Amino acid sequence: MAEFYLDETLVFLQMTGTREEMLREMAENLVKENLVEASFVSGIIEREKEYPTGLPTASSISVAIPHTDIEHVKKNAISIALLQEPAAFQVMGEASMVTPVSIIFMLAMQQSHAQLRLLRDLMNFFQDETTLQVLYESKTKEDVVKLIDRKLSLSASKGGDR
Amino acid sequence: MAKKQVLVACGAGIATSTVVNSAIEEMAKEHKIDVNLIQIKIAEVNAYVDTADLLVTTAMVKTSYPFPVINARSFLTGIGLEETKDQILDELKK
Repeated sequence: MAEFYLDETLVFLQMTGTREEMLREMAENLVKENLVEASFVSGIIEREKEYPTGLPTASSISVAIPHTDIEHVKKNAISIALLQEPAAFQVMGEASMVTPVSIIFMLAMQQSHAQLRLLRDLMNFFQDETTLQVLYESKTKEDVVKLIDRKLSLSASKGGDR
Repeated sequence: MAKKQVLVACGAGIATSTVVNSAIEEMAKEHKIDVNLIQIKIAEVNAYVDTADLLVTTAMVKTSYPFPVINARSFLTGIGLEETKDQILDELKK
């Protein structure tokens, strides 16, 4: 099973900025944590322009799942940002539809096809209005990590290569 | 009924297409339809233009193809999922 790393260093509360600034901050943090290559940053930003990842959900909370090619990634990880104010993201697969995103789930994926379980759990999570709301209202990074750990099949340690 | 070649595509060919691919696989099994699923990046669709019967994708499609294209975002959000599944089944049964 593919493992995904998440700890409090990858969680952002009350994030502010433009869409690109926020994506950059999250991606640069993953670089700093030695989970992705430096090229991940531009990979994420360019990919979001070409193939936007905003997803409206059944609740009032829209999410985005920015990700990019596997060669930019050193280790499977997920970074989560709760935005102070919703930011407009283009909707996945739509030319001109935007959605006000409140939570960003940045995915660093190292192998293709190997993270089905995590992705399915994540999609189920998006369809669970109550849990999304609880996540959005988290007050501490610890709460975010605990909630995600409980809901998704993560279970990775960062390894001894830091 | 000939086995249909179905392309499942997203931007990177690794994330959302993985979810959609497995959902279609299950759906086909459930309905006992034999289908040839190919998971790719949307940029790779051109290589299959002559052989594919259907494209199911979460990415935006700017080109027109000789086969139907179905938007698969509902597999990720759950919104309109049954309609999307019906659309896909209709194509698979053709």
